[in-house]
Amino acid sequence: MGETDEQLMLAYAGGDAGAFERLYAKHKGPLFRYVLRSVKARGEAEELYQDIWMKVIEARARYVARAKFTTWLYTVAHNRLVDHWRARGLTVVASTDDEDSGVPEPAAAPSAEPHRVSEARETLERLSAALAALPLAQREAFLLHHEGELTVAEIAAATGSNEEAAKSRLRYAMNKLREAIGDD
Amino acid sequence: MTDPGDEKLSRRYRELARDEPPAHADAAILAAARENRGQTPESARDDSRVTGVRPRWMGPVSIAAVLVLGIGVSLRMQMEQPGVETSAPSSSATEYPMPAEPAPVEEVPKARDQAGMRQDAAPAPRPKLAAPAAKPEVPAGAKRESPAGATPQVRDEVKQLAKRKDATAPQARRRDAEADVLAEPQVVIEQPPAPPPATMRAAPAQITAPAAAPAPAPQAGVSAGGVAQAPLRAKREGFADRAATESRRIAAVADPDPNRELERIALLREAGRHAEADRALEEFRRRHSEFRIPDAVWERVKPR
Repeated sequence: MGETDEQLMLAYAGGDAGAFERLYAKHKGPLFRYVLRSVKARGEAEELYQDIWMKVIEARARYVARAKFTTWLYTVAHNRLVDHWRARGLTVVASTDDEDSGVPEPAAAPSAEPHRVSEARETLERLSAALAALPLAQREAFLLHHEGELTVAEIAAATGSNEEAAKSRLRYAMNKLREAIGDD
Repeated sequence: MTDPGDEKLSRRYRELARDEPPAHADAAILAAARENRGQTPESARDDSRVTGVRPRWMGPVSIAAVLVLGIGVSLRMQMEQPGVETSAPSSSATEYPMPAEPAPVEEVPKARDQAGMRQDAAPAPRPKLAAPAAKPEVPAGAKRESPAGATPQVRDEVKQLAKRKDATAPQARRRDAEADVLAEPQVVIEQPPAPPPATMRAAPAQITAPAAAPAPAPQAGVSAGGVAQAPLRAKREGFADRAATESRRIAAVADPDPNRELERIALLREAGRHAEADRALEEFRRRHSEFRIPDAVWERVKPR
């Protein structure tokens, strides 16, 4: 029906500003959330988010539709985040990122509160907290999957890892988050 | 990723706040996209894909081209009209007075024959233009000197000039060698050496050039001006060679291989040239936004 992302990006590279606007409208929310939940601080996230799109704009002439646009977009975003983390002295990918280090225990058991609304809110808060507490690589795998809708192979491509590692990170992330919301 | 637990988790995740970018970010990004849209020449796009030449290198290459052109034009002007360059007359102008009148043109072949000078195909300066009589910087007293009286002095000066050139040649060679050793190619903007004294350039046409002149004399008369132009031509060729070398170096650095670029940045870091390394890294990130820098390499190139 409509144009694919790849066609839109190529159209933009050819001078069609409207193509970029359509592309941007489609991806702005997921990409912003991916960045926001990766760095937590909103101010930093906004800066990084703009920077990523600027890189996309600058790289338009080099864009070649060899892979999905989203894979390319999140690769650019991932690299920008890596630079950001490195600048803060953080290790981007732990060698043993399947380990549980640094992940806080989820709030005990499912809430026994009587009101379902507050229970739901609490669940979401726990999910949010657990997501924020995930190791970088696991959180990124989860966000790429849920926000960018990338497959395991695409996550591997975007983060420069192999499929096994990407699959493992995603599985660990989801297990921890399920535990956090009591869906274990 | 398709079991019910995953579905439930995904549903819960979607219930989290649906954060959106702020309106000002949207506006800035879309404005940038519109602004840059017109700056996407298809030719540049194709060039970058086919040859790997990035706009980044256009600046240095342009500078090198401008330098070559500028030097070439100024040397050409100097050849055609000695004294047109802006250099101030040196103190030696008073020591080596010039003749009052230009030498007759018909005397030139004779003088050349006497000197046994070689001729080459280089463009010859027009004799009248080469004549120095109209030069305002020559002292009035000097103009009253006869050409015959000036001849031995000018000849001495030519010899001195040749000696000076010989003396400076090792320095120039050393500079070239140092430039070659440097791993980092740079656009070296050198001040051209000072031109020979005005009196030498403007010597009368009938004065014979020494046989030891370092380059063939121009065809139109073996004037001292022609003698002075031989080293000038050599210099011009030297400049052209140097500019060509710089262009080749720049082209060599315009390498599309990100690993080689990173290696260059790492070398800059090792050399303590952090400001250049920072700029290069920033530029690298701009050009290779989709390239992931390996951790080991990052340790070598990261900002200090």
